[in-house]
Amino acid sequence: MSNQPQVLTFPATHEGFETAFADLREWLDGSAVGTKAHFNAELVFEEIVTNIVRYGYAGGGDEPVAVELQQGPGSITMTFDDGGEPFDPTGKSDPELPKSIEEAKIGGLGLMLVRKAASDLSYERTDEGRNRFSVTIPAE
Amino acid sequence: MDMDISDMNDDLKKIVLSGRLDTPGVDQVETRFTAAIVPGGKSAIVDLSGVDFIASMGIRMFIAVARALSAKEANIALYAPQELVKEVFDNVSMGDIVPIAATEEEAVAAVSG
Repeated sequence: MSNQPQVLTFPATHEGFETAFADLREWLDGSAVGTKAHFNAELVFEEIVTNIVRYGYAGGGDEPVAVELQQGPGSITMTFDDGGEPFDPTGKSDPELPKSIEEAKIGGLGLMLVRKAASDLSYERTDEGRNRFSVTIPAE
Repeated sequence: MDMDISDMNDDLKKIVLSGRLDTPGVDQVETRFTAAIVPGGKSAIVDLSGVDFIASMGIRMFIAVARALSAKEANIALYAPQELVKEVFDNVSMGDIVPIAATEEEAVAAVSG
């Protein structure tokens, strides 16, 4: 059984995130993907959307965030579309991991987890001035 | 997000977390979790068997508490994570900076070492 594509549209706020996160989980429950894909889809959504909410609109703006959910034969693709500051997550490298707790910095781990979960990532800044970031997750 | 605290002995606390360590879950539990462990300055072990989701916010919470305890010469160890939670830890090499044990006994040994 394959899920119908769905678009979640919500304000770039804490409350918007929580509502959309619940909608995502409902969509995933209706899909036939395995436990790991379900977990990774939630992980990617959480990391990307909390980044957008926290940093994307620091310079102002109130355009909604849209997340397109699509289920393919062996994968789930989520496309995050926001009107915030230009930000290309594919252009970041993984942080250097600390070897001791004293030197551990707190940050940069979210995108690293996204990269580990994804089989494919792509980013474009559209002519309309929006970020479009697509993440494909194997549906194992 | 639920949290249960008990004393293993005079020098060791045990915290049992259950639920989801996503952003809302961390928001709910972080203040209580930190307050239960850090001010006393005792070592702690954390049972994660009831945690079925973790994202970077949850990892940050553990690193922040581990660092605060380290400054007081105490340690923290996490144990019994579910398979997918363990994979998240492995993906950021969390075990290099905070011990992640399979069992309670191993966690006690890791903080007592």
